[in-house]
Order: sequence, then C-alpha cells, then structure tokens
Amino acid sequence: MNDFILNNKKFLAYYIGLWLFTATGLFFVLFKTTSWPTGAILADSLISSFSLYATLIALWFVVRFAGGYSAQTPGKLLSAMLAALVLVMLWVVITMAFIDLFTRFEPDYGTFFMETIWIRALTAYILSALVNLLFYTFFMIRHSSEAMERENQLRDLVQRTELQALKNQLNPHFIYNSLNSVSSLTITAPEKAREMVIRLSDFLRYALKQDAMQMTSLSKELENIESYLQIEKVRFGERLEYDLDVGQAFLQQALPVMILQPLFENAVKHGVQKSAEPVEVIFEAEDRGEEVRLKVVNAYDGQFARFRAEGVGLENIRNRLRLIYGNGNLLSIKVEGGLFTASLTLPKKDYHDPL
Amino acid sequence: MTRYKALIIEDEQPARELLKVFLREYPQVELLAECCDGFEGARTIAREKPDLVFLDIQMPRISGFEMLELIEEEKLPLVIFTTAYDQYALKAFEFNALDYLLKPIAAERFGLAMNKALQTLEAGSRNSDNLSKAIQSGLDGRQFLDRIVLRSGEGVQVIAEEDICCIEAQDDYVLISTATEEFLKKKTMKFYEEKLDPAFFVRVHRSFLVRLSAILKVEPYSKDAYLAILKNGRKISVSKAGYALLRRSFDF
Repeated sequence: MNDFILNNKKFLAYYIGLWLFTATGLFFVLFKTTSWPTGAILADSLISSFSLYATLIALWFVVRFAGGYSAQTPGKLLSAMLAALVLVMLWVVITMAFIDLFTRFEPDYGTFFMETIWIRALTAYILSALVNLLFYTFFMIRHSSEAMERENQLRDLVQRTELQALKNQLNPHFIYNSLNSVSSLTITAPEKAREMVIRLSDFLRYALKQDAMQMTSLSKELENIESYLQIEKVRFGERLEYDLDVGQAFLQQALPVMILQPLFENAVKHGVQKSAEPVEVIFEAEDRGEEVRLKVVNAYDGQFARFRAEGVGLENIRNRLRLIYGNGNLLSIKVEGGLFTASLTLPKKDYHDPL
Repeated sequence: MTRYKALIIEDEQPARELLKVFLREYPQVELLAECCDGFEGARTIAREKPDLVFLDIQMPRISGFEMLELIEEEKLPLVIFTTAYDQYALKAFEFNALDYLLKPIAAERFGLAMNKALQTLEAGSRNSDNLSKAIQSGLDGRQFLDRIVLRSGEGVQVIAEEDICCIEAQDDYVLISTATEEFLKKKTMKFYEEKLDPAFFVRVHRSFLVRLSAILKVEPYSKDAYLAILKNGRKISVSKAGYALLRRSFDF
C-alpha cells in the first residue's frame, strides 16, 4: 500500500505504543478499582484497546479522503469528529461480541461490562482525538518538508531567472565592440576614450542593478538609454540618429529597470547596424487614459534587414512583464511599411526615484 | 618598401582606425582602402586585387561571409576576420580564414596574425584554393540559409529563401528560379540540398531541387518518370526516387 503514514515505521511504533499505553492504563484502573479476576481484566484491557486502535485506523482514510489536514476547514474538522463518533460506536459493538469470552473468567463480568459501556465509549472518543492528533503530526511533518523543498526549488528558479535576465539584458557583444572603440580612441582621441569609459561605467552600473523587479522612472530609464545610444554613436557615427524627447507629463511614469533598453538595442542591432544609410530611432509616449503607451520606432532596410519578430531579448522583456504585471502581452511588435515599432503598454503610475 | 596590398572592410570607424594604427607597424604592407560595407568591399577587391583583407562579419546589408561569395575565386585574397562574436570562429576556420581576431583586438594578437599572413604571402600562396572551397555562403551560425546573395551586373541581388521556387543544375552553375526571375550562381546542387531547409525543399531529380509549396501538380510522364508543374509555369522532371520523396512529404 502506497500510504506515507501507514508505511511509516515511526508512526506504527507510536501507534502501537499508544495501544500498549491504553491497555496498561485500562488494566491498572480496573485492577485498582474493581475486584474482578486478573484474567478477565487482562483479556478485557488487551482486547478492548486493540480493537479500538484497529478500528480507529479507519479515521486516517476519512482524513485522507477529505484531502488531508492542510486545507482543514471547520466543516472538515466536524466530519472527522463525526467519523470518530461512528467508529467508536462500531468499536462498542465489536467489543460486545467479546463479552462471552470475558464471562468465561467471571460470569458477572458481562453485567459489569454493560454498566460501564458509556464511560468506555467516552474514553474511546477522547482517545480518538489523540489518534487524530498523531495523524495530524505525521501529516504535517511530511507536508512541511515537501513545502520546504518546493520553496527551495522556487527560490532557485527565481535566482536562475534573474541571472538569465541579467545575461540577456547585457549583450556581451555590445560591450566587446564598445571596448574595441575605446581601445581605438585611446590612440586617436584620448579624451573621448575617457569620456566613453565613464559612459560605459554609468551604463553598466545601471544595467547591473540586480533585482529584476526593480522599478524606476521613465526619466531615469531614458537617461540611461541616452548613455547607451551615445556609446553606440561612437561606433556608428552619423548612421545612428535618435530622438528621445517626450512630454514632461510622462517623465515620472513608473516602469521596470532596463525594460526599454533592449528595445533600443534591437533597433540599433537590426535597424542601424544592417543599414548603410542613417537610421533614426524615435521614442514616443502616448497617454491612453488608464495606461501609457511607450513606443520605440526605427526604419529598417527592407531589402537586407530581416526582422525576426521574436528574439531572446523580447522574450526576456515578456517574462519580466509577466512577473511584474502578470501579463506578458504588454509588449507588442509591428513591422510595417519599412518601420519597426515596439510598443510597451504600462499602467499609468508615477515613480519617484529615491534621492 | 611595400610589397603587399591590404584592405580593411569594417563598418565602424573607430575599429577601422585601430586596424590602421596597428598596420602602421608594417611598412611592407600598404593599406589600399577602407570600406564601410560588403558591397563596397566586394567592388574594391575585384578592382584592386588586394593580397590581404581584414573583414568584419556583422556589417550593413550583407555579412562578411556573404561578401566573400560575391568574389570570383581567383581574386580571393587572404582573409583575417575581425568580430566581437566568438561563435563565428569555428565557421571562419571551416572557411580556412587565415585568422580570426576577436574584438577588442590586442596588439600582440594582431602581430601574430600578421606574422602568419606575411609568411603565407612570402610563400607565394594566396590561400584562395582553401578559402573558395570553404566559403559556404551567409549561414551566420544558422542551420539553414535564409537568403542567397549573388552578383548581378554591377550590383548585388538578394533572393530571400521563401522566394526560391526551384534550383536546377547547369554544368558548374545552378539556375535559381523565383516566381518571376532566374539567376545563375556558381555553386553545386549538393550545397543547396544541404543548406536549404529540407522541410521546404526536396531534391526530386538529379538536376532539380524544388520548393514543395511551389508545386502545382505532379503527373506521370513515362515509365518511372514524372513531371512536376510549378506555379511559375515551369515543368521539371521528377525521378522515381524523387516521386517517392514527394509522396512522403505530401503524405499521399
């Protein structure tokens, strides 16, 4: 039988212990308070207690059938108590079958048995609560170890997701290419190299804010995007143009850190890098009542650039939106008339960066 | 004294500057020109016939690999790839590139590549045999081609994979046909059979590779031979084995 309680040796030891304890207790009580022969008392104690615990095992099946203790509601508790009552009544009937056996030791023992039947039933009912408690304890031990394992797994997953998010946010080739530019500038224009190293550091500091759930304001995010685009402009020169101006009204809009940057990186990688002509990357914000729509638009060379609507970067944004807003569809992509548009729709909300 | 001619093909100005600075250490190498994209690069190679080319892979319009495809085999120079992407290294060496420099490029590493280049040039080899064998189009790390780049007159033609209806063997060339046009390219059938996604293309005959969705109907022609009629009006032969492949692909 595949049952984690009935197969648990420790549980069985406790259960048998409880039975022997009850049998001993009953024996002593009868021995001290009555003058029945020892044989009759011993038979009564052993048989009554053994049949009680054998019957009460059924209580576990009732509990298990009801879904265990974790979702315990008053209704379920009541049904467990009712079940115990039924089982105790069943037990009384079973023990009455043994009266014949007891009367072999002492003819009047049957009368005594029937006189004490109510006190026996009451005691049995109290003991059933003890049995219930034992089930409960073992169930919870098992359950909490399971829950702990699940929690660990979840924490692990979150950490891995965050690490992945970090890796996805930071395109290493962007860094290598930028460092190659820096290397070149140290010879041709050392001041510019210095400037670029500072920009690159600023960008990395912002990008490496570890928490994938971290929020920021649009003005802060745009500041960082400007750093990013200036770094790229050193590489691409006049092939890259950009316009990040949005109305003052949008600058405090709350959004997850580094959520827009991959969209700009996409525009640079597929729009600017693949085109020999200058490409302008335009940022727009649009008030839509309850929501704000942020758009990154760029032209692309239809003949040569082949847009894949879904990349790792976009998938990563969707995953984060799902984590933060519970909806990955807040990002939409449109490729139309030589223009690539990525739109992010966020609930309208202000964020004030800590000073 | 200058003995060798070099060319830089690189779309980023600072990266070009760096290579120029490094090259100044080699008076025996003359920098002919700098090109900002693959078109210009292909034209300049054809015109100037350089001995050595520094070639970026990620460039506007066509990649460095695709650019090499546009060059006649006998004009292929020694190639040193320069890129930030290490995933192309394997492919570049598959192509028998002379060397592969990862950005940011270290002066010492550049020196090693130059030593190799000068030795090869002094030995009189242009390495073109190896390179030509190796240039296998613009796969860019993908499993299957998503476009074919070819020379057309003075310009360059790009055929998207989804526009290709059929590829036909013609001696040393293949004839690539789309719904409206036909292009010749010096390649083998085997090459395209391997590099085009077999989910879409089937080799129905020794001489024909066809896009499944371009087939209008297939009819019997003679014993053991069939005829496929394509949507662009062309009729192509289908062998018995090819017919079996089609049956499997179309599941009939």
